Amino acid sequence: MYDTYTGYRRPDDMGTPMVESASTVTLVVDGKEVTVPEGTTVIRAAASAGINIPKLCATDSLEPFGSCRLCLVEIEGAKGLPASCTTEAREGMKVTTQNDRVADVRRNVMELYISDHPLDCLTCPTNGDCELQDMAGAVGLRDVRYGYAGENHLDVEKDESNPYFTFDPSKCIVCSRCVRACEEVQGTYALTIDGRGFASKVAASQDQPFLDSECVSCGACVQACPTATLTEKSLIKKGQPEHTVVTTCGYCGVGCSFRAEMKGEEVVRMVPNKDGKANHGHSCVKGRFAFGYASHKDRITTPMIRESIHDPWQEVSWEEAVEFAASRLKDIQAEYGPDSIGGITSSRCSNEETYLVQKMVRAGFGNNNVDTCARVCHSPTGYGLKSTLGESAGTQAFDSVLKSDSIMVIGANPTEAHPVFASLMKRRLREGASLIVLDPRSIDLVRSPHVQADYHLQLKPGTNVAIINAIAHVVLSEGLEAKTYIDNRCEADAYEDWRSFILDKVNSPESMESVTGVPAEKIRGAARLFANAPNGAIYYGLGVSEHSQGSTMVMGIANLAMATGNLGREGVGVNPLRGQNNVQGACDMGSFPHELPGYRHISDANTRALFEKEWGTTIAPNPGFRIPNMFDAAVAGQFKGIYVQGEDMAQSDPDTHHVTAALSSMECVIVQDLFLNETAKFAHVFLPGSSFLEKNGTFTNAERRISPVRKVMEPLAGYEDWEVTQLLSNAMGYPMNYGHASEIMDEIARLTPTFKGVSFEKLDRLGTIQWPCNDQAVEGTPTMHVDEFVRGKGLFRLTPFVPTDERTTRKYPLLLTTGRILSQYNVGAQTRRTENMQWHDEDIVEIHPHDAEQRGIEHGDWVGLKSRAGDTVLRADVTERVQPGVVYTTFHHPESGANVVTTDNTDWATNCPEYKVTAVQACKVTQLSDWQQEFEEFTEEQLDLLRRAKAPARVT
Amino acid sequence: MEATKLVRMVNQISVNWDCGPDKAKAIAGVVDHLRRFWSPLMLDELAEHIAVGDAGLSPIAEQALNELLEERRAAS
Repeated sequence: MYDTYTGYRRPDDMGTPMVESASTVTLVVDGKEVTVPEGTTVIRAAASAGINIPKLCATDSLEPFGSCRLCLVEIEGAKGLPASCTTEAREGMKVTTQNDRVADVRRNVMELYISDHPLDCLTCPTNGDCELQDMAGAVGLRDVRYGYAGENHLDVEKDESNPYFTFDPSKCIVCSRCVRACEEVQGTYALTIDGRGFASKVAASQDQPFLDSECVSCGACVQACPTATLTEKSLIKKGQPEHTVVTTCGYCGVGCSFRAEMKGEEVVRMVPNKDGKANHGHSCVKGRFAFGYASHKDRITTPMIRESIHDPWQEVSWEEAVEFAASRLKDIQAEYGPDSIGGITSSRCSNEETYLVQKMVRAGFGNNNVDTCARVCHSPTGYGLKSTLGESAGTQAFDSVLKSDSIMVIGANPTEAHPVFASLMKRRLREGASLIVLDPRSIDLVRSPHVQADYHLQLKPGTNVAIINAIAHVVLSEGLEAKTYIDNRCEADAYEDWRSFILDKVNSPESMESVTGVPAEKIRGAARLFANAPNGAIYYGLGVSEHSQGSTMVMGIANLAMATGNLGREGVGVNPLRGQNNVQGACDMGSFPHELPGYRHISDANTRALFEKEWGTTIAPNPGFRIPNMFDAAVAGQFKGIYVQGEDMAQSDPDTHHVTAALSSMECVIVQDLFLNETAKFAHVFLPGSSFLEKNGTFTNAERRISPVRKVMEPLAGYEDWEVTQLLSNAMGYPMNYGHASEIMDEIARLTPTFKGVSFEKLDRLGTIQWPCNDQAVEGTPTMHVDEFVRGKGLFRLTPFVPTDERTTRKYPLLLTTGRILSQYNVGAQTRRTENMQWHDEDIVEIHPHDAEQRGIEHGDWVGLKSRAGDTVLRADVTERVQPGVVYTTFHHPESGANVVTTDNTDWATNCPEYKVTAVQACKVTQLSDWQQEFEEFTEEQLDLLRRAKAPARVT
Repeated sequence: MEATKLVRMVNQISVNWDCGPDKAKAIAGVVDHLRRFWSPLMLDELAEHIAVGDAGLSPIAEQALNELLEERRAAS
């Protein structure tokens, strides 16, 4: 276990992975008695007793390989010198790890390695942190009797194609750790050992440069490499780190734990933490390498104000900016009423920060006009799971997938959006779990190395509920439901109602075939496969929630899980793959207009009283505006001021014309962010934000896992984000006096039963905590609904299929759906300011060859996409990943205008936008759209206004 | 805020609750939904809109709204 802030040292390595077993064995190693779980290797048993057997190819993140022959030991009664990494410890075994015989062999092995290795230790980037160096020292290597004149690999050229790490084959000892890491940990299988004997070498794909290969730049090979062969370019440039801080990634909802390895206040590299409970020492290209945005030249570090959005910005002091913002907001309320202003919390900021924003809105603004980006992604999850199970969160830990027998992935693309979790899932799939994918596209998971979906139900966009009802129909009509489970754990009346509803012929696979486009036999096969598995788990993403029936589909998923008895233990569950690093946390913290922290409705007088007492104020008892309502009210002239922390609605929300019209009609738009983002171009006040490296706090990932975020550098603008909210709240007249983020968490714990036992002290001690954490679960709750559901009995909800209003027509005959890509993150504000641009420097539109041919579109052509909401132009990728009639794009680049095209259709229950279904026409064009040209002009105007920012003339 | 949009929203809520012969249950579902999730300002706006004539509400939506508005009138 690491200290949270410690001088840099390489983490301990036990040689081979930990094994779990109910029984143990006791052996003797160098005279010491050691007891370990049965199945543990000798090398790990020795390490657990503090005896470090020399090793090079063995490492505890990978299965043993036995190639380097350094870890040989003597075992009484065994022939020869077995490798301790591939030898299982047995009861009564007597092992000798050091004697003259073993020492000779090890020295000979090292002699061979060093005979073909550069002797440039003093100028090598891993000098001081190199396992080969360590082993040469450990075995007492003094000379290399072969000399250095023989054949060698010292002149092999480096591959520096990857922007983040270098591959130097001259230093490679062909231990295969990198190849094994790419297979076992990441699951991409991009690397191999090419050639045999002396000619053996590590090759990426078809012996290509790394950047051109299938490598996804996760970095697993880099941290596995025991030499300088695979090394971070940042390490090469800066040298060895001198201290380490354990923190949590600021990108996606996996919430990987990282060691920020530092020199002073500069990050040398981010290395995934082996003790990370969400990621177990793995990471993806974003968290691992793309942290440079935090110190990018575009960072704004001085507050700015302006009267109108066509004025140059004025740099001012914090005091002046906050006073200006507060007086504007108060003036607006005086003129337009108390409900004319609101706030948006960030799903990228910490729990403590989002809690403070909703507190300021409720206590300081005096209304409930607070919302968060979950509105546009997983708000249906909140509605659907609260309704059926009683809590708005996923039910399992990520590790639960390792016990799944059948995995259903609906409307999610985990290899792109939750890559570290996808790697874990692929491990289980390679072990034999079955896979059912419901997606209009052929996502990578459908067929990739050693993984193939048993069923890919390639449904038409907008037909999710039809297909989930059809699957449930099969389960019930074929008697595959878990009768005892349902009887014991679910409300009987609701079940009977749902049963009659589902068994109606209209929900049969045969009836739904023409609706969904999926053959009935395939639906039946998939349903049987899932329902017959001992443990069936469902994972889903925005392809479920971002629909006009998103909430209905979530309920449909919960219904299916209950009907098949797949809730309340490991290996099963309903698992929403939350997108952002703290979107789960933002929801937990009451960032909704209708809920206080802990998902308690604002109308609940007892809950309100609790907060009113702590906060010393009254709280409005009725729901406030959701984000779409705020925009509608703004366009109608009723909503005039907004405080936006870490959110970029002008790029991420649908129907861009409407969003920008709304922002333009407001009188005070306050944006708190790292960069001048799209929303900030419509702002009157810019408050510089702080990245995850510049603050203390906590994030909560998709597993309800609360993890610490630890400051590694002082905030560039002088304040952590929560401190800025505090300044604004004080200026608004509602006092806040927190001295440290931990005080905010203590308040949250006082007021929120599911967080009762959470504190920074406990997080330091345990590492992470999965809520609920209370008197019944002092160390947290990995698996929910174990004995009963949070609401008591599970509730089956009726899920009638209501086709979306968004239909294809002659004018708009194609359906556009949207998604994400691995190297970019959401609106791209962070990743576009890193070398990740090398992988995806523009959004493209995927179009099926049939549709392309009909329109005369070739690969690489400019394509105009037009919907009833607007039009934009993207470059074409003609591919069979999409089916005929469907086109697909991403939204990481603002100039793509993907959301100019998406409409104002939303989920009926939560107003979550229907991003995944837009009727469009595509045609070949020769220039950008009018919107794109206007966008370029507007952007240039705003950047010019920024460049002209100067202090300190007062704005009257 | 644009009242026709509010009408569309409440019709959409109603069609999603209207999934069986029990219309009373559907109406109750819509009433509860509006009570729990809609800002009173939105309800006021809708009330004003439907007071002036045929707003294009579906039968379930109309009944649900009438019930909810009556409830609010009684409470105030």
